[in-house]
Amino acid sequence: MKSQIAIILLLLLNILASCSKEYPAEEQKLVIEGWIENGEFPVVLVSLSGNIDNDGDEVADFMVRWAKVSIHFDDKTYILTGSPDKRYFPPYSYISYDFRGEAGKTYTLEVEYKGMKATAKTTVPTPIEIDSISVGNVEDNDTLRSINVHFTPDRDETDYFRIRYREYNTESRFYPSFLGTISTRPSDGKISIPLYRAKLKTTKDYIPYFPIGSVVEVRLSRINKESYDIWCDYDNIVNFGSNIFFKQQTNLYTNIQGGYGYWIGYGISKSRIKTTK
Amino acid sequence: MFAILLSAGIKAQDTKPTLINDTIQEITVTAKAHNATSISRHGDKISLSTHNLSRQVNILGSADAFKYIQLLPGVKTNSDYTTGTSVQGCDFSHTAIEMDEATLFYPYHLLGIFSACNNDHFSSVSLEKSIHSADFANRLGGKISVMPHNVPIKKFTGSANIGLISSGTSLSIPLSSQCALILSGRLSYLNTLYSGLMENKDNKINYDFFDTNLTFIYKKNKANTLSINALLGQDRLKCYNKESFLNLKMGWDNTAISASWEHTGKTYHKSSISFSDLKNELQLQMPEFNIGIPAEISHFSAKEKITVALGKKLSFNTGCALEYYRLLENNSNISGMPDENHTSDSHYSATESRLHGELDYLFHENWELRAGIKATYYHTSDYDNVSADPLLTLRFTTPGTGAIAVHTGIYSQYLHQTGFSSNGLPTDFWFLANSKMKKQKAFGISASWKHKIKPFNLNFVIETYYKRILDQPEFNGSVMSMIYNEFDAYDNLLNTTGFNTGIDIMLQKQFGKLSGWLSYSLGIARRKIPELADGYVPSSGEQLHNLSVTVNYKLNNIWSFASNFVFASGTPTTPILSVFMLGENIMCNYGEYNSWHLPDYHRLDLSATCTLPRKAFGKYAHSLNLSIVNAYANKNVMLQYFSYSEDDATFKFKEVSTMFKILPSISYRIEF
Repeated sequence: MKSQIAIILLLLLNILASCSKEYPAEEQKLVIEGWIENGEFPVVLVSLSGNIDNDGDEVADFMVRWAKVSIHFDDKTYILTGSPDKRYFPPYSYISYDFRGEAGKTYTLEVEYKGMKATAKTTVPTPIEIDSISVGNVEDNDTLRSINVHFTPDRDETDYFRIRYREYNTESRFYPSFLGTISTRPSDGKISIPLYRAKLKTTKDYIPYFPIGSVVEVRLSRINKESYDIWCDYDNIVNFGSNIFFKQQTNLYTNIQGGYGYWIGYGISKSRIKTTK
Repeated sequence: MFAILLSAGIKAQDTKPTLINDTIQEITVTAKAHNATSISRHGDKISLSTHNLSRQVNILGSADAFKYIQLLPGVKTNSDYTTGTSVQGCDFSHTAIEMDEATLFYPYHLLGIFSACNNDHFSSVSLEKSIHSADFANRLGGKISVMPHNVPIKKFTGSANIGLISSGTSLSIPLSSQCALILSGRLSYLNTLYSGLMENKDNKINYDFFDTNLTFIYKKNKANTLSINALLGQDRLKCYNKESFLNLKMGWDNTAISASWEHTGKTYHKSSISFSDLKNELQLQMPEFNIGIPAEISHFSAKEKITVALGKKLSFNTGCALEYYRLLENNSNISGMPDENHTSDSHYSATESRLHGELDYLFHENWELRAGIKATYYHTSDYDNVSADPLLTLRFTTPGTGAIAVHTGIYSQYLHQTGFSSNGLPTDFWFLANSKMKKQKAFGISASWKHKIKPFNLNFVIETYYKRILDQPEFNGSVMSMIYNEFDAYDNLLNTTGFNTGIDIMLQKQFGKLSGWLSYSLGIARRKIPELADGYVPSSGEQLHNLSVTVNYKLNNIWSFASNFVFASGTPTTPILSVFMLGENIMCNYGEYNSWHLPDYHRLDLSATCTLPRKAFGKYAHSLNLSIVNAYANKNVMLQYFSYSEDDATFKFKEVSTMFKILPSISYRIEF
């Protein structure tokens, strides 16, 4: 009881002092957005976090051009080369053309910049084939088409997937499909999942469907549970982060030690479809 | 029987009168007052008459008693997006809301802009904060009682109120000298009149609500009264985003029915049965998929209350209650996605049996001791619990000037509620104590002093309290977790402990041309949530400072003016420490849970009412009310976040402010 009275007295003092309380700030940290896919070169984007005082600062100011980015596997270390890359935003990426990702292998990423160091480890899962992709009509709309991706999980346990896509000739990078992070159970059988366009803060109007004539490249990516948790968190923040009723004031789960973001291995299978009338 | 029912323009009555063996019959002292509040003899209960509310500040053409409850000391001032009544730092669900004897679970329209209790139908709304008697339901916080009329009406009367978004009417029909029927209804016409305003390039919004009330009174004789009360309310919101083809639907239905028989005489006796139901559903639809999150809580109760005089100075209150709950667990019902599931009948139930006894002893001319105990047996399929909660109240009456009351007690609560936010949405889920989340408990101590400042005809009330709270659930999940996974709310529940403490002060002027009240509360509500923060953190219900001033001025029989001013400390929030870009979206990195506060909230409301006297229009009285809510258009901040500006590729710190910068309204009222 005495300790509670002391707490109350301290709180009352705290009230008096609270008027001059300063807004908490945090030192800048490295932000990593990296992935490695079977049969593809690894890609890593590096930027810095900004604090609340950075209201009005250009996003490009947080881009990191001079980081040392390396990937270690099979007792070898590869240095990734940074260069301007308009496919991504911010438009700068670190890529190695010395090796491609292989299913089953584990890759350790290390990023160093101005005394900061971030590390992460991921494994590329074994991919699963896409059975087919179908195109459907959108109700009350003659110019848009819906797309569904069909596949059959082959594991006797819960499995995790993320659907990504790219509109050929108009988009240079693969975007995560809206609501495209899924878990499947062995009893599910054949899976059919709608492919919605990504919700991005960098585009003004969101339309989930594809215009007629679009050529859409689809990547069905098998991911591990850790990556699934990251993407579920991500989708939640993107969809409800600024929603007054369902506000999500939680931090994005990260597998980066010493920074934010993700380093994810994708076991991918590819397919392409054209939306027709 | 000696029951002093002090009222000022209203017939407020203690739920359980003190019995003393004297020969005086019931006395009702009435006086005209323009102020709508009256404070009980010991300062532990504040009643708000609905009679004069139409001459106060109206919101969208309707005056609402629940909004005025928020202006009382110890009650949290809510923002526009927040619904519920938080008393002395407690959670919304800790407050028991009752219509006669029926529990109301979410009696609100328009996400809390006003309540589902039509003022024209009810006679008063009262608030008990921390001093309760043993017949109080198993809740940890305060109690709001919506009191229907309980005396037969001698002549046919009625009223109609026409507002900007809804209109209502109330008819009081005498059926005989012993029987009366009161019927009220209210209907919105947002979709009919404002469909154009509620549609723009991107969104189409539909919203409508209604409520109906019925009260039947049969006063067999002076000692026996039978009353039946019913409330039926419905809200339907649809928001269709044309760009994303996303259709959001939210709806909730309120049903409450109670029947009670009250007997006064040498013993006071009240028997009642009631049924309440809250049904709600949140739906997210796109052409390929549908996500529905339905929920329902049904509650049946049978109660018996008896008060027996055991001498001139001693009375005994006893009673029992049997409560039965049936809940449809919040569960996602998904179609069109791989995680497709169809919720089977996941109803579950619990029973709560209560027995209470309380001795009321006037051991000295001015000293009264009330000692009681409430025993509860709670049963659900995987959890049984027995509790015996003692309560003790000591009251001292200072002759002619006021009274002091000191109360201590232990409280239990078996019904929990939590949700995705602290805003108090209809979709916040109720659930029953079980083996995974046991009952909540509280130990409280409080003292109040009511003093009459005679020279100025003012009432002064000060109350201080401390409440220790154990096992309060806090939801740490997300909307997406319901969509992606086989959702189990218990996996996302955190068990919290904490305390609420503070001081409430009220200065009231009840009579005269100028009336009103000033209230100030200092409130601290802290919780320990080891999963989210070290040590104690402010709870979402904490409002450090809360000042409100309510002023009514009756210029003459035609013109009256009213004003409310509110200042409240900002709501606790989790600060954004840093931001970063990931996948072309802005991510925020948050600091310690609730370790920062939003900017302070303040608002000024004004109203003017012109009432044309009955003598000018025969038996009809007409009035017109003009109100302005948030008169100086203060931008009250509800949410802070970071965004990305496409125009100049910069980070932008953004604030979501109050729904209405300034909200004028006009309403016309006719009474006969």
